[in-house]
Amino acid sequence: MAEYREIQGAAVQSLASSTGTITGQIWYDNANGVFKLESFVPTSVFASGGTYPVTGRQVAQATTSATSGFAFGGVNAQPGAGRTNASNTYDGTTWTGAPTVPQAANHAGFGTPTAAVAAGSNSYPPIGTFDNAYSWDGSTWTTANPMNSYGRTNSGAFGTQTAGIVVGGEPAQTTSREYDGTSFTAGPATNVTMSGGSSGAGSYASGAALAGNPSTQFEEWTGTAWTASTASPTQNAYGFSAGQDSDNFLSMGNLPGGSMLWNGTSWSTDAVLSTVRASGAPVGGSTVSSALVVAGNDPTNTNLTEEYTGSGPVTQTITTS
Amino acid sequence: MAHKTYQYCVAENWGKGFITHDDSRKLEFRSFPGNVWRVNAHNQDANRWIAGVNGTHKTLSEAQAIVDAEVTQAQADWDALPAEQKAPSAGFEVITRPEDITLEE
Repeated sequence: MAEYREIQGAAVQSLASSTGTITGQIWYDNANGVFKLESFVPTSVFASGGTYPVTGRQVAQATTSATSGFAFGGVNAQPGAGRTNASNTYDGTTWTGAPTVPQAANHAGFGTPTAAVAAGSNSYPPIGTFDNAYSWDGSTWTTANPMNSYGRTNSGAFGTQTAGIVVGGEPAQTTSREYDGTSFTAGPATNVTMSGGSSGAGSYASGAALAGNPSTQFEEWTGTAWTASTASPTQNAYGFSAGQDSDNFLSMGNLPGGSMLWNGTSWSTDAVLSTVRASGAPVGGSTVSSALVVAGNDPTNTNLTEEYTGSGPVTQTITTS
Repeated sequence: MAHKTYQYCVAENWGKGFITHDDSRKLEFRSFPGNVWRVNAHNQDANRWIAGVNGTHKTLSEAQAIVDAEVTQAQADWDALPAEQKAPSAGFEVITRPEDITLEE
């Protein structure tokens, strides 16, 4: 039987990471003790993920990939039934319950599964917006400083626990907030009004946001200012978004014709959710290569998860199954 | 006789593995209220997928009746919402009344 060396012309390398590997190469991940394959995904797709423990909508996320998810809060399934304070982590297969957020609400969420922020939004009953914020360290929630009189709900949010942005929300305005890990301060104004259902993605250094219901307006965040960009061809009110910077932004959710991918120059049609849904929430730190869509309204509230895999190079773990 | 583009089934999405990346590359999926799933007609991969998820085939009219019942209930739930939850200025998202869904053949 031919050996890998004879086929590939080289022995299987033992490496600490995929850096320097090429498409088609098998290598041994000595950090995790598994063999891996550098593969290529030709077409972006959604696939079913583990069922979310809560049926509802507007569940906030601080997810970094389709195999590293963190979701919290949201609106319960039954109309008028109020908000949930549930939080759950995702390992690529199963959602697992985590300590509850101190305040049940459909928060704006950003950060990572080990360092996240739940910021403001609304609660019901009684009706009303609030500025309370909470910080997650991977095991416990603690109270953070409030949002400096933001008073909006269903906002977009992105960034990290020490460098985050909250933008848009209901009632519609042009204000934003920046978070440095300690305090929320007023951020630069957006050029267009950002309303409820805004969704943002990226980092503090480079990000983007859609303007929410019912707009198609799209703005890029440079790290110091908002700049008006090319409007999305289709409206995605109360949708989801993912992306690592202003040149890589994915709009998902309420788009029966397909998700929309922004590459810094133009929008293109991308993968279609099998369960098209609105009333999502920002996906936080996800990228346009790997993201999660969790819960939502289709128009009945759902607990379904879909995992997004973008086209392009991907590292796969080789298993015997 | 009109050529069908889609076929319908009822199947409960159990989560991971219900639709795989491979399924998603081969087929066009769309879910509707009532665990109704639409996939390509006259397609062996679609037939295998329906069998694999223990789906129950439904005719267009049967699937439409299931969806209609779910949407009617969702509309009734929306009608029963307090006015404050339907008003965007009250600090809530705009919750629009669920619209009727017409399935395609």
